Amino acid sequence: MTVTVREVAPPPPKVPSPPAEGRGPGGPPPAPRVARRVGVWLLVGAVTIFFLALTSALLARQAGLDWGRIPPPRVLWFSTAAIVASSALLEAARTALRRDRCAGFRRRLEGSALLGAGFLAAQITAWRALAHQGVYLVTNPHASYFYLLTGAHAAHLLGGLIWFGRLVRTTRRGAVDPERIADFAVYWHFLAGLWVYLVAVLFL
Amino acid sequence: MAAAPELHVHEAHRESFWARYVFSQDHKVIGIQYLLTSFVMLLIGGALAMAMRVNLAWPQSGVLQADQYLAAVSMHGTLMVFFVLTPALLGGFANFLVPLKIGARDMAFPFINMLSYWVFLLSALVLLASFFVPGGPLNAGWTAYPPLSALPQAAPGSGLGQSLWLVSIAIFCVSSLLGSLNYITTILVMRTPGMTLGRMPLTVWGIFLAAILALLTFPVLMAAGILLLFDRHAGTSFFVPTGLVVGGEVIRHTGGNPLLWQHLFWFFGHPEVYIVILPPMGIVSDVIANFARKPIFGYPAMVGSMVAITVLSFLVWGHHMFVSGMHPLLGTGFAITTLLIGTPSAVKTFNWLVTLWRGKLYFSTAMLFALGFISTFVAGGLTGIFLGNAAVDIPLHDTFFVVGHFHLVMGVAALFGIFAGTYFWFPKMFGRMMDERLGRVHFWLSILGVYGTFFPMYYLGLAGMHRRIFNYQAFPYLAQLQPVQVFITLSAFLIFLGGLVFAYNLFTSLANGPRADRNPWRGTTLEWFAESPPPHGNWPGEAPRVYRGPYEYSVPGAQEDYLPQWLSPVEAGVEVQH
Repeated sequence: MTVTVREVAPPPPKVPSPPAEGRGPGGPPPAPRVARRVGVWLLVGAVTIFFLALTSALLARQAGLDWGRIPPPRVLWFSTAAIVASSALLEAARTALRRDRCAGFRRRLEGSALLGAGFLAAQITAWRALAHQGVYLVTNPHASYFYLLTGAHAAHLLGGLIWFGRLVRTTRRGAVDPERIADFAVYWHFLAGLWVYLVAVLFL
Repeated sequence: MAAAPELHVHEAHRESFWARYVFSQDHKVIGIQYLLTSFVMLLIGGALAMAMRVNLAWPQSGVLQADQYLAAVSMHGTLMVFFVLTPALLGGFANFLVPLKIGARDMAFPFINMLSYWVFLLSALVLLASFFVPGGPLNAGWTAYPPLSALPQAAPGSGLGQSLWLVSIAIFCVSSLLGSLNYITTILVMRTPGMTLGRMPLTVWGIFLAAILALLTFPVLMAAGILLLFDRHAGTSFFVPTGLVVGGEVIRHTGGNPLLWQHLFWFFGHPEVYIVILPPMGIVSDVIANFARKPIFGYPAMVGSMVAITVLSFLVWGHHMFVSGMHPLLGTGFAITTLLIGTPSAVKTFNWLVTLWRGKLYFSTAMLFALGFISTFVAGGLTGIFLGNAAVDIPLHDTFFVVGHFHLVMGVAALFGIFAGTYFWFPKMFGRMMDERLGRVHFWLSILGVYGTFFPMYYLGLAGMHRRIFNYQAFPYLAQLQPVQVFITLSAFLIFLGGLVFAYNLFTSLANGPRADRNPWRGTTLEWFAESPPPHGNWPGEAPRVYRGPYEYSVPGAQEDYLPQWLSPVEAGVEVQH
């Protein structure tokens, strides 16, 4: 099917309202679109609290004599660059969409998703590199918190990648909904910001 | 009734049995699923309490062994807090009432809503499974303090039972997130035209604020639980200190801090108390205004005090840790915030009493339980002022005084709120009335039983009775208190008997109760505009609009003694300025 983005991505008023998700015919009409955005922000709020709890535990423990200090694996700088670039590229994709540049939009969106997957691959490399140096989960508290925080972040990012994958698939089919991309962007930028915060807490 | 073209609720909406009652996305069915599951859990939690009471009154009876007693204490607390009070309120009533009361046809995310119930049920099953594993359920109490909860060899229940508890609570946290996300979004974006925040019934305000608390505190419990799971199964030392010796064996964990768990747990745990008390505060306000036929006194102050409680509840957790070792200055800070939170609670109590003052009181069962709520909330809340002071708390900590306090102020009060809500909204849920005579029997057994149980506990606590002791007979100064324990146990039987009457009433009314019309209590809020029970989508045709506040009772000049929110000024023929 060759449908260009220009045809299927009209400005918001023309966007056909999404089907009533999961509600049988005759069931209640769907919630207003703003509900999704509110829901994503609430999710971001809850995940923020989760990481604040873990990092405040880290800050309390850091003062201990047994903290031990592990050097940051070098691949971490690559993963940091990848996740920040992925975020920037997603914004660039949205700008392209606003300017009706469909090819640029698709390229950037898919590039952003690939960088996200690249980040995850880099994290796995980082864990392997550390283990190779003999730094395991129980080596010292710093290592424990490193594995725990990066693991928890990776789990949230994996969820984000699944969401991203569905988004890319629907855009390939030609159904582009700027609002849905904006919903996702909130979560994706949050994960990038969260990662920068975690690196700072772990290694500064 | 002719349905509007956009919504053919009656004609077109045919669903299979499974889609309609089991994997339903209808907020009302999900609410009832939550509520009934909570009642089953209440029965189990109550039975455990009875077993403990028999053991305390007649220690020689041998009903429970020492480790079984600790398991019963722990599971009773866990079941009642996580699987009765929280899901009945922020699951049962929140689901059933929020869309109906704000004029929405359903929740913002119905699929996520359905998911939240099934995830909750999974967490309940994982928890109950711990009854059937070697070593039995956890022994560490519902607060699961490490190192007892962190070391599998620490107690019989510290093995698989404790792990299952942690996994169950983690799953519960996910369910709670899915639920509260839905309630907050629905209240923010799905209110019908005219339903401003200042016209929301107080039940919706209570649920809204409780959902915010749940959204912001359950993730902390989740984080703590994950750290504890790592300590148990991956050998980390987040909570386990250096140099512990268990069973003659030196533990290899080093450097962890058990106080860290207490801080994380209570940062969640104290707001949790308000998660289960804010919705009943709303329910009781709705019920009292209705059966006193008066507007609630000081609506803005009622909302304001609930907001104040919500904010302050984040700043009081340290009062659970006065004896855990804390800088005296920090303890003073927590004592001050704890006493401060008494002020909005007192404002609410004052407003309920003034609402009752010179009202046309009708003592339905729902009203009796609402009054019972105020009574036990005060009787338990006043001793909170004692315990909030670090200097008084230190000698009373871990005695029965504390058990009496929190059972009355949050356990019984919240449960009475749930009963008031059940008797009040049962006609809306099932289209039938509950038996009021049996309801009164339930109430009087409960209120007598509750005071007979928890008031003497203040005395026991002052006399030095420990909180979680299996055999107090080992101490002569405690052994002489056995007659008080017998009296308490007999009183507790009354509560349980009342609960059985309630269960009988529930089932017989479901089958044979007299048919309820739309508005059996002559209520003013939008749920009473829907049929009993309301169809999927709640109102055929257009959703109702809202023209006034939620408590327009005894309106001078009105045709009836109340003006419902949905009645337009033209239909009402009268309008009062608010």
